[in-house]
Amino acid sequence: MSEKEKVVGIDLGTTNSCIALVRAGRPEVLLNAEGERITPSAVAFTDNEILVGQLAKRQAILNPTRTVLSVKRRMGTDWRFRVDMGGEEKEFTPEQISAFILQKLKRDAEELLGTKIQKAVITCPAYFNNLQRQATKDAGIIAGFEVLRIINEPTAAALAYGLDKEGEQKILVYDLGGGTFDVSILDLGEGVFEVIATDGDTQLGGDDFDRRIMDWLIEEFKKETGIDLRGDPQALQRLRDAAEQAKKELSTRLETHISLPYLAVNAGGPKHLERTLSRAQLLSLIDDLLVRTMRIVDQALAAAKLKPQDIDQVVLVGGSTRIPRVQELVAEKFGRAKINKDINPDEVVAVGAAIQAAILAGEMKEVVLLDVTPLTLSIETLGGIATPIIERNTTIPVERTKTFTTAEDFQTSVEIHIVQGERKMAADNKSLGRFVLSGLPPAPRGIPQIDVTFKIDADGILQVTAKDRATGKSASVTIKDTSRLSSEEIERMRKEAERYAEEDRRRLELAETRNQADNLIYAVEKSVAELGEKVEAEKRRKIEEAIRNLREKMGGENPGAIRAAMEELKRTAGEIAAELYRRAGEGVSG
Amino acid sequence: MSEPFSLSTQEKPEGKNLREELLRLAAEFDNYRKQVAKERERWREQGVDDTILQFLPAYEALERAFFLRQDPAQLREGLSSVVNLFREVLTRLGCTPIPTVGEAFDPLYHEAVLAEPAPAPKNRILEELERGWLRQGRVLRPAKVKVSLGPQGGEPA
Repeated sequence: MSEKEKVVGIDLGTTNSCIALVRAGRPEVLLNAEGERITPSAVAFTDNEILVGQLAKRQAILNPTRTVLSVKRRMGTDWRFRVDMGGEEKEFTPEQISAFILQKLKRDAEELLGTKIQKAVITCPAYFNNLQRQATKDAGIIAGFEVLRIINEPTAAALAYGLDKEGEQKILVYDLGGGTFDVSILDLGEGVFEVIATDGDTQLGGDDFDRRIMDWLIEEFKKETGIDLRGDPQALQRLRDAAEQAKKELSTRLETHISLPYLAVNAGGPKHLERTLSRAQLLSLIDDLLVRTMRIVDQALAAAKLKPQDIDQVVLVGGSTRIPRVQELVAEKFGRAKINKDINPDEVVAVGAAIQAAILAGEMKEVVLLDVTPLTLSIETLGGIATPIIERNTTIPVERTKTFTTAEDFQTSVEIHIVQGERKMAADNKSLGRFVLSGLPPAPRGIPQIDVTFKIDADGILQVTAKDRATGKSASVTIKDTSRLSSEEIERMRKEAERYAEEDRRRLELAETRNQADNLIYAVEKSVAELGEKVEAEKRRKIEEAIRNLREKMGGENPGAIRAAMEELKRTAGEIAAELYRRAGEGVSG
Repeated sequence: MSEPFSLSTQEKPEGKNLREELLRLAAEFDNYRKQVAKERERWREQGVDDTILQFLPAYEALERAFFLRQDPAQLREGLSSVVNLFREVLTRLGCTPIPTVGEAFDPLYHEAVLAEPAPAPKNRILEELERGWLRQGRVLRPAKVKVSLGPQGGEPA
């Protein structure tokens, strides 16, 4: 069988570019030769070579007249780049410069995949006119691609989220990148995206936020030390890095510490910068910029003659949309449920382009669409613990088996209680059903081996079987509604699990500790009984006392106290217990 | 454990069986992919753990230096020993600094942050603003440098 042709999607951006392809039905971003997922859209000419990407960017200020940044802003114009290369004057069109970027992406991807890449879908801004689109296409052709299609960046972002499959709707794409901000409103009807409004600010983005943080740090340092760092390039470089780092950290944390020791020196000795920046402070530094983006959103809505409630879906694109306040502002206007933000916002356009490429190449038709389990499926075990059998997000059809045993001596039946959800205790999850496997031959606890198998078919129907290995006896139940939960319900259950995570962890710890204590008591009592008269009366009395104490602690809520009482019992029972406890294994199931 | 993939040739409605097996195999592959991703994340975390463990002694030595009463000469001696400890860990991890001042600028290793006319030849590195690091030959972080535009000033910066 011949190797399938590779078709890629390319986000040819103003500051950065990204290339992706669909493999086995899944879009993947391809790493460049430097091992990065994103390539700076920079091209530079030296006397003997052409540099593209990170290398071109690094030497830009040294070689400004021979370095091109943001060539995208020139697409479709008759701007020409004249450059002296080794004494020879050369002239390049914006298409040719863009082609160098595309060529690097192509070359690096081919190297990575070990095959040739011929075909590509390339994206451009929704506001590009025909000349600009033709120029983008020509750039692709010069780079050696057969350009399957030029698609709009917001359309690609919507495709990445599969919004094209959801019927007629209006989609707003909010794209806040490093240096530019774009809003597009799309009308999706019969599988065709139409751009009904675009607006933006070509000079607004994440770099502005970094600058605001840097300025704040400079002012704070000046207030404290009287030193103005603006004239100190070395300090500025450290500040710039620290500002960007702080901004990124505040997307996931409420507070970050900026520590720059030996930042400057004056007559009084070395000076260090130590500052805590909270998310609220960052917000006060950049809020006007964020509010400005929302005004632009309003303008776009007005141009489309739409109200926020007319928008069915919102897609967030660009690294700066990771800022929680951005997501809040968008949610305040459109409602949280409409926001799509789970795909890496730096890559979502390339991912969408790759999907479009795969569709055009006819690859998506062959893709088998697979469902996943929305929530974890577990059974209840000793102490009310929910023991997972199939974790959430497992692709179906799937079959998983775990082996359990009895919790009591001479137990002749076990009840299998099936629950669904992310909470640690069975009672906090949704009960899906229960059944009993009876007729087990009487045996001490821990001896019977019962295989519990969860089998979910492609339609999401769950069959649970419990089978006793010794007798081959089995019982089972079929549950049809494992995926009948609405997406809101699933979301609520997940949120709850997050909210109660700490409490659940404590309860799980308590339940598990109690189980261990119960096992220990069982083992000790058993060994004492077996040894009979061999155990001295005094020793026996001490052991019984320790067991009573442990039982009392098990009735409490403190796992630490239970563990301490267990230690005491182990010490008292000494070698007898240690040996037998090792043999006893773990008792489960109830 | 799920059943191994097997195709029975005896079963009649082959189309349906094949489709079911395809589905099962595709799902299994997908679950495998998720498992690999999870494992990769675990390895990454383990790598971070290992690295932290290597750096902890240096950090703890610094803390001791901080809490111990010493005269400046003793403090200096202690700090120099801590710096050596850091250097040792970096070497063990395969990290080496990128040479800068006096070298010719190379975008593979250096990032030009400033450029100015200077008596030094064009493209010669004048000053290091932030040290760059290599690890096993790879650029961990390029050095941020100030570069000469040559005595004539070369191109305007």
